[in-house]
Amino acid sequence: MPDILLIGDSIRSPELRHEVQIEIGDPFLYAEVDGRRVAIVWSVEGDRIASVDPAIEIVPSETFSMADFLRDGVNLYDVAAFQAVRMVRSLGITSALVPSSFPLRAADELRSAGIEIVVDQRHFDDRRRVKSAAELEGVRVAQRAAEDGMAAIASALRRSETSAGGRVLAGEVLTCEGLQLLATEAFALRGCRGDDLIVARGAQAADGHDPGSGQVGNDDVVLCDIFPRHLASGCFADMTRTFRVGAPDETLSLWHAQCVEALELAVSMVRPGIEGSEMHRAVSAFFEDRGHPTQFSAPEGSVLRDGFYHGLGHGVGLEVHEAPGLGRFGHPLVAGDVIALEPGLYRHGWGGVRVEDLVLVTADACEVLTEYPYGLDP
Amino acid sequence: MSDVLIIGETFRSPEMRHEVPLGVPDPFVYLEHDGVRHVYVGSMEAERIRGLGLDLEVHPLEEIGIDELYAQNLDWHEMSLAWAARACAHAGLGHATVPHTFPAGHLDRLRQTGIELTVDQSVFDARRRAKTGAQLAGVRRAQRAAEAGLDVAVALVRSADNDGGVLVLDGEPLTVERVKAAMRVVFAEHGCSADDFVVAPGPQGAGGHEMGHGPIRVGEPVVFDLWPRDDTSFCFADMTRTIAVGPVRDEVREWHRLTREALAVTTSMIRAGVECQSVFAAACDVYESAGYPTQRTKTAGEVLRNGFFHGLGHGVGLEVHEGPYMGLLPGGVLLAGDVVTLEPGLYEPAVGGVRLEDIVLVTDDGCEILTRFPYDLEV
Repeated sequence: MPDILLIGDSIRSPELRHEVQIEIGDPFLYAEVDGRRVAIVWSVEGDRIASVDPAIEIVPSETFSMADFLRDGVNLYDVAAFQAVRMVRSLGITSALVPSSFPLRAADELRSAGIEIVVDQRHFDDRRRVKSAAELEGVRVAQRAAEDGMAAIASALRRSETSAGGRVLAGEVLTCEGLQLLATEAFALRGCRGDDLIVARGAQAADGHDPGSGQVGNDDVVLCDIFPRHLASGCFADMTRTFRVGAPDETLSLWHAQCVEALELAVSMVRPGIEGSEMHRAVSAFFEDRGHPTQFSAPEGSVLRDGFYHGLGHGVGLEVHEAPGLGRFGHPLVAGDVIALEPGLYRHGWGGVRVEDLVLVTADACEVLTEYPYGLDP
Repeated sequence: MSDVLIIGETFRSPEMRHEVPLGVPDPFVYLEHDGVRHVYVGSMEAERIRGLGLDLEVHPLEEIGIDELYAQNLDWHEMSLAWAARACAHAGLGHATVPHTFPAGHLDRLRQTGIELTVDQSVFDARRRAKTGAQLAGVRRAQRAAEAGLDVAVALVRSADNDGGVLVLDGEPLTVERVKAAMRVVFAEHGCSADDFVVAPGPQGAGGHEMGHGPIRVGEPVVFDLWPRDDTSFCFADMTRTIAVGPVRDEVREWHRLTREALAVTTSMIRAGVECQSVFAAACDVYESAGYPTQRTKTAGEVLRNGFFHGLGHGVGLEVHEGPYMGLLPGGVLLAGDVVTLEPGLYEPAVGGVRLEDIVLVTDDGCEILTRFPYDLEV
């Protein structure tokens, strides 16, 4: 086993959060050396880590004296890098694997001190493919929060009324921002938070990551892609539903039915060993057969903004987008992967439809973790 | 002006968020070459970034031959390294300054292609010291959210009953978890969200970053340290109050009195040009003269867990902890436009702790205190 080295905080670094399962907001050092798992961290945080994972050996960072740095007036960033070298040396590490995001300043300092730093992101991704029991439980809680948020949005859309300027609810203008807030409140009650959730209306729904803004129209499409993070575990869920308020739209209804069928096709293909890219190709072929452009039909070098223009899905865990990939390039699925499948159809400047479920890959197929109807009616 | 390179997404990289103030969840390339700001990003995001109306040259990846790379059937990570290298070559980048967190994976690839990278975090920190109008407005909104959250928490503990020394509300113990859930809803109503935060009763409050859990007892200090983030600007606020229901022991009252004094003394020192270390030293003076240990009095290598064991404060903006730092290490001088926290505290592991924290905006002749919340210990 090669030695492992991580430097960062466990809120932003999924690699660190996988090893140290609580939020540590300031950067610290974690290493695996000769079978030992060691965290060198401020003693105040060390107590917290020890209380959740006694297998991690805690070395208080205060035991690395800074007296000489203070005497010499060394600045803060240099102190952190020099301390990293002292810490790594104290552990007897001469060569270590690090993730791609390993901080460059520390890497340079360690390398010039003669310590070999080998970047191997694949190693760290592979560790996270099969979720721990606590991570999977966190994904499930986040998924319940997502469903509560979606139900809150749907309920507001259902209860809304038409007015001269667009949709209103209880005498107030009904906006995408207001709908986002309803979802966020539902997340809070489940111990989850959402960053930039998407509640996009009309033409905004055509642009994959437009978070959405403004008043919902009387006859409008509202695309909701929400991805709450469960705070205690750090794990995400990810789900999308598309709603139509007011008069039905024939094109939208047709596309919606096709997306739901494409999702069913994708779910039916999930099993360990299948290539993520093979699933993406199958769903793309399904859409091409129905006359939609895809990443495969578009001429090389062109910017595709219509049809099924994005990948089929991605892994979900300590990051909302992680391995395995299910796009033009991808990975073979393994039992224990949690993946989001999100077929969509769009017309730039007009609008779009996307539906997305979260599934757990099992020994012979999958378990769909999302429990929410697909209906276009909210 | 030397060239600059940042690779990352805007949720986790404050350097990137400062340049592209929009939520972009997947990593992309930002660079400055010969005074022109370039963004290389998936075509799905290109239009949103153009929509910011900033002086950014936005290049969708099709422009640098992403489809050729797909045809090579590269691994996921190889792919991201390869297109970032293409972006740098396309812009003609030869040498660039990067932040200290620049991903080491990209470093190795770019150096292979002959691009020279120099780490200089001070360049990026300096850009973020004086806040933009939008950022400062965001800090203020986040601060209002923190205060509204604490208002709700105080109202909850006040309305609770004393059941054998434990707070009870509506027949159930009023736990830290219940209080936090109510506060999160208030944050959300203010357009803010938060990672876990500190509501630490009794001995838990001595742990500095112990987030807190379980029932709350009458007469024990509860440390509330809150740092909600405004979800529009991605800027943080940061505030701490220590609150107890019912009378506390005299010792805790004395800690609170000294901590208010340390906060008042250090706040009065804040203005552009003052040395960060000297503000920290003034807080230490207050505590040391009352007989409490500080980072200055401990021996090298000693793990200090009581007294004033941490630094005094830090900058707040796109990160909750950023420069300037007011602690033991040299942190330079304060600048007009800095938003900094002042958070003196005293602790004793068996009992708990008292911490008070305000955020202030540094001006040429003093500061504006952004926090509007009473300091009272016993409610």
